[in-house]
Amino acid sequence: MSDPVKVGVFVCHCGSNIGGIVNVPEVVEYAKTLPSVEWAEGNLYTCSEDGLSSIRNRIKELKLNRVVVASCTPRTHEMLFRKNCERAGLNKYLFEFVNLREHCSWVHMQKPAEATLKAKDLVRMGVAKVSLLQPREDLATDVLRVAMVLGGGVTGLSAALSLANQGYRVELVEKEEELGGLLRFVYKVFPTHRPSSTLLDPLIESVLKHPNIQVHLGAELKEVKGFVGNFKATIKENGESRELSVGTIIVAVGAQSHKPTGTFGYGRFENVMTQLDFEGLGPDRHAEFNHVVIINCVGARNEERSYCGRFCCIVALKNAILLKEANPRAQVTIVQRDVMAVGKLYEDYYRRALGMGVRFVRYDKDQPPQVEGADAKAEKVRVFHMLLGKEIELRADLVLLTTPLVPAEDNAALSQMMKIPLGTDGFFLEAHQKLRPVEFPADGIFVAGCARYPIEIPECIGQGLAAAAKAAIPMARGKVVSDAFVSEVEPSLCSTCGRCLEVCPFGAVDWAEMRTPEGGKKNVAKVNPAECKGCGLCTASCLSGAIRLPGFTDEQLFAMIGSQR
Amino acid sequence: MQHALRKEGKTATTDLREAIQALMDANHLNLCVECGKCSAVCPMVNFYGEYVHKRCTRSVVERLCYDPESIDDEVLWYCWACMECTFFCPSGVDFQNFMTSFRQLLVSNGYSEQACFCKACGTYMMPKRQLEYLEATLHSKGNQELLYECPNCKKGKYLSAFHRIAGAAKSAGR
Repeated sequence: MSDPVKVGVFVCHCGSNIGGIVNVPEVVEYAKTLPSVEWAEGNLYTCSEDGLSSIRNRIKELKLNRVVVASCTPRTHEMLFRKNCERAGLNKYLFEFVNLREHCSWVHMQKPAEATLKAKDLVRMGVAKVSLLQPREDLATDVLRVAMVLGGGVTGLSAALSLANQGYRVELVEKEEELGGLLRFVYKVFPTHRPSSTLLDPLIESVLKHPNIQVHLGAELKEVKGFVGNFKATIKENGESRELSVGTIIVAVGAQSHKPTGTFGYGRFENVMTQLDFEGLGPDRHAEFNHVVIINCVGARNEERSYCGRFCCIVALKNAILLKEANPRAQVTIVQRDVMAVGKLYEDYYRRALGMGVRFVRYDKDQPPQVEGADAKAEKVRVFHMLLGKEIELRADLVLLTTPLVPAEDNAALSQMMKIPLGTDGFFLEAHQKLRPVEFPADGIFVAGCARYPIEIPECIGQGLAAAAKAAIPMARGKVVSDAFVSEVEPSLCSTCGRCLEVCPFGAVDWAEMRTPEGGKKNVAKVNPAECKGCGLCTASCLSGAIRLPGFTDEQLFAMIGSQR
Repeated sequence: MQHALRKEGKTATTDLREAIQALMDANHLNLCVECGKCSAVCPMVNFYGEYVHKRCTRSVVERLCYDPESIDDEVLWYCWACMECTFFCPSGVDFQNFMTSFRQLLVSNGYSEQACFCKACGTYMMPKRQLEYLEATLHSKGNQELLYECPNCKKGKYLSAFHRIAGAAKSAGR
């Protein structure tokens, strides 16, 4: 740090985005008057090759050792400018980004004079901060080319097969004794009416035969340690513990069918069953029912479970059609709240059911149907018909309850184990619904299939493949490079309160043992740089001031605030 | 409102029920997807003050499916068969054709309290409720006697008069 600080400031017009509102030449002139500023200039587009080469030339000519670019957002352009500094031989962490577009010109379009004043303030703060930045090195960690797929349902199978075909080793961990997940219990799939085994069997066979896939049946995940590239997972397989070293994890644990015990006579009458129970009944018995009532939205779209089961309407249609096909004289009535037959495919399927004479009755959420019967047999369903404005009675020798998929029981445990978030409904919550749909905030762990929310088979397969593609990225690169602005703990200041462990959304903080000067031992917080994303939550929460975040240290922020005009 | 009140009594026989079911199938009544377009375009609201959606097309279908006792319900006689609902139905339910055939079926099965017949030849013409409405509308015009005969009889009556006049004019012209 013996060299004097020489700052170069580059202010971007961004076409008319900034230059149209902020008086850029004025800001440039102002920047020249700031302490340690060696050079200041305006560019039409700093991100163009002209602008970038100008930065490089100034660094070389004037021996600048700090660079401030005042332009757009770091979200899109920070990488570019950092790389540019690196090309000129400057450490890329000696660069500071000032956002004049989103933070100034776009929000103060009506007030150019005030916007110019604010732009000067922002540039001044940037210059004050950049002087205190220190050179740092990127952190690179190696990635094991092994993936662990949790769950051997249709999602997990497609993900595992995709990864294995790309040449990565896959550890497929399935809790049950058999592969196939919930789809095993389904008789025929909609809307093709092919037996589910024609879909599942080839998939299972190729997974079992694949040299790259190691299948662990009856195995339960006990513990996960480590971070992207090097997870240590402990599984309990057939009573004995095994440790797997994997680079990435795909969570495809699926969901389970809701059992509405106690409602609609379920559990009391033997002929009241869920759709999944009916799938297991076997096709031979389909023809014996003459009066079938199917009740939709059982346990879904209510106070307890606010979500829609998404495909259960189609399941109800499928079973209604199957029953009608087996016995055309059967009276099949679907008691529904809305028929969610989305898209041309399912719209046609709905019309097919209508054309076969399946009847639909709408019921109100506040007046649910009543299933009545004697002994262990349901005989009729009473439902308030909203159009007639009166209660009607439907004969029934079979009552099917259409229930949604609900989160698997061990979701909470898995969420704790891997520090991955659950949504309010108990399903796993992805990092971003649209931009990062199969990822978690923590690196190297991915999610797919019904573990996220109830989806039908094609989408399960699609998400499985998407998660596999995402998981392959770090494994293909062989290493992950993380930003060097990660939290650092000063162990001697740590008071062992554990707040940082609680607030870290990425599970990057853990306990480490330290010898005290008196000769004893104490636990102190330790940040794993490979997992840390530099969000600063631990830094802000630390009461002892033991944690600092290099790009945003107290000195730097105070310098920004203190650089009064 | 008393017109809309249900009268005690008649229940459809099994034969009639099957005939109605056959009519419903033939006119694709079961293809309804409950979009509500038929109720939205139904002009009955202009004719009957007490119109509510219980008297709309879809409701009549539901009534026939799930409430067989209401076969003598006056609501079944409200429709004027204007064809608006049939025209707008996205699913191809031919309700107009169903309604006209359905009333013929009811009349031939003896449910005729709500129907009115031609004074001259005695064939079924239209629902009584419709006739009352037309009478009220045409009251001041002094030509409501046109209402009581069926188109065929009117044709016979007025066409022969027309021929007479035309014949007289022809011979006078010659």
